[in-house]
Formats: sequence, structure tokens, C-alpha cells
Amino acid sequence: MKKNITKEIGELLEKYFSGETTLKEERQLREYFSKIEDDGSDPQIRGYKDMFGYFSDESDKVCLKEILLKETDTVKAGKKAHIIAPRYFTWGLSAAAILVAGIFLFSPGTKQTFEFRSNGKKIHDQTQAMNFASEKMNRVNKMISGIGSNNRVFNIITKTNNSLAPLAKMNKALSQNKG
Amino acid sequence: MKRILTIIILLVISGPILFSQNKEIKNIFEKYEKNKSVESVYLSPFLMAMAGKFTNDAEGKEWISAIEEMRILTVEMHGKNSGNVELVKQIKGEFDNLFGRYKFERALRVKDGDELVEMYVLKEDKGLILFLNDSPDEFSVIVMFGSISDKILKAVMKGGVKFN
Repeated sequence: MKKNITKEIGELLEKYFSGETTLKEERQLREYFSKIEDDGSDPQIRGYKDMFGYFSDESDKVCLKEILLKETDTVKAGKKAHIIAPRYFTWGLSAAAILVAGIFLFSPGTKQTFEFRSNGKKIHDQTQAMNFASEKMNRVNKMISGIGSNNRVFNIITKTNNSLAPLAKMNKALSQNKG
Repeated sequence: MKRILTIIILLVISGPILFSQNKEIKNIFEKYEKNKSVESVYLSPFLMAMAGKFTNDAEGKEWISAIEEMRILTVEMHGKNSGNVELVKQIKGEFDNLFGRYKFERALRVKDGDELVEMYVLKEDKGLILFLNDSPDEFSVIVMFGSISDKILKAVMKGGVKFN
């Protein structure tokens, strides 16, 4: 086991304190002083041993700290990603749920283009369906359009109640627009 | 953000409430259309659009373009169908109940002899015009769902609701 500081190490030490050592040289110094025996004969050795041992610890700590910090950043980034992702995920899920609900609620369903039933049975005849609709509407049209031409009904109303004057105006307007 | 989400959720929930009277009418139709004493027809938006293409009348084209869907329900009452009086009473009761609960306006009531036509209107973007035609030989309910404006009402009042 070495007991003395060699010339080479001495030169490295000078460089070290001048801030000119490389990482390899610093590692060399650390290794040297970690192995050197300290029997108390040379106080410098104890000093350097303690120093490089401390620095070695510190450098390990620093390395560990750096690793931890890096890990923390990653974790934080990951957590941040997780914080963001769930928020967007929740939004996305909500939007999807609303869309599905909207489609379900407002969907017209699978109704066909027409449906005609007679005596409880479906009749798959579009022409018949249209004719049926037309017939019923024409019946109503006849009744309604009769307001203008059916003076018998209209006159009875106006005689009994003068407040129906707006009805007279409407009838006049409708009669004028009839082509 | 929370506010926007709340509004969206409320809109989704309120949508069905706003259009529920339309849904109720359709439910009444679906309830009775399978009855053997009933004749019914449903004309989809697609068919209404097609009908518009074959209408020559400008006014007719206009009302057809506004009407998205049409449903008609008829109960025969003459001859062997004279026993359908109770059925007609039931259907009338359902619609009377509906008129009482929603903001329907009775726009027209025309009586000629034994025949009566009443017109009810729900004037909205998703509105409807409903006719009740009551005569000794038949009872009909005609509903037109669509964008009900004054122009459409005018066309209807002139008897301009035709398919040809």
C-alpha cells in the first residue's frame, strides 16, 4: 500500500488546485487517495484523503443528485403528461358521451321513407300512400278554402259578433291573393 | 370550461324536453296506427322533398319545402265501422290532453253541416300544424311537422296544401 505522495500525484495535485485537471486525472487522484494508507505520518495524506474521499462522496452524491433530479424531471414530466392527458382524456370522453347521447336522442331512428297501414297491416305501395294523404288533405283544403267562398258560414259569424272584424280583413286578403 | 361543459350537458338534456310535444304526437300515432280500425300514413322528409319536385304550384312547393314530415291517421265511422265511436273518443281525448299541456294555438275552426275542421298550430322552427277533421263518416288527424312560419300558415289557410 502506498504511503507517500508520488511526484506524479504531486503534479496532478498542482494541476487540480489550478483547476486544470481532466476528469480522468481527478478520478486518478480520487482512486489514489482512496487506496493510500494513512498511518498518520504525513498529515497531507490525511487531508487529501479526506478531501478526495469527501469529493468522491460528493461527486457520487452529485451524480446521484443529478440522476435523481433527472429522474424527478422525468417523473414530473410524466406526471405532467399524466395530468394533462387525463384532463384531455376526460374532455374527450365527455365530448364522446355527449355526441353519442345527441345521436341517440336526436336520431330519427330507422323509419322508412313512407309507411302506409290499413286494417292494421302495412301496405308497401307508395302511390297508394300518397293518394291517401292527398285525399285527406284535399278534404281539409275544401273545408278551409270554403271560408272565403262559403259566405253562408262567414256571414253567420259576422252577424253574431262584430269583434270578428280581423277575420273579415283576413278573408279579404286571402280572397285577393287567390289566383 | 366547466361552464361550457355544463351548458353543453344542459342543451343535450333540454333538447328532448323542447321537442317533446312532437315526440308525444308521434307516440299517439304509433299507438293507434296498428289498430285494425285505423288507416295511417307516414311521409318521411325524403318523400316530402320528392313530392315537392313533382308539384307545379309555387305555393305548394313552398309549403312542401317547409314541411319535414307528415302523418295522417283516419278512423272510418260509417256502416260496419260505426262501432269505432269509442276509439275516436279515445284519440280525441289524447289530443285534447296534449293541447292543454303545450302551447298549441287553435288557429281555425270551420264547421260545415256535420263536418268540423280544427286547425292547431305550434309556430316554431320545429313546429307543427295539426288538423282534426271530424265528420259522420270519418275522423282524421293530419299533422305536418316542420318550420312553421306565417307564409306557410297563409298557404295552408288558402287551402294550398296539395301534392299535385
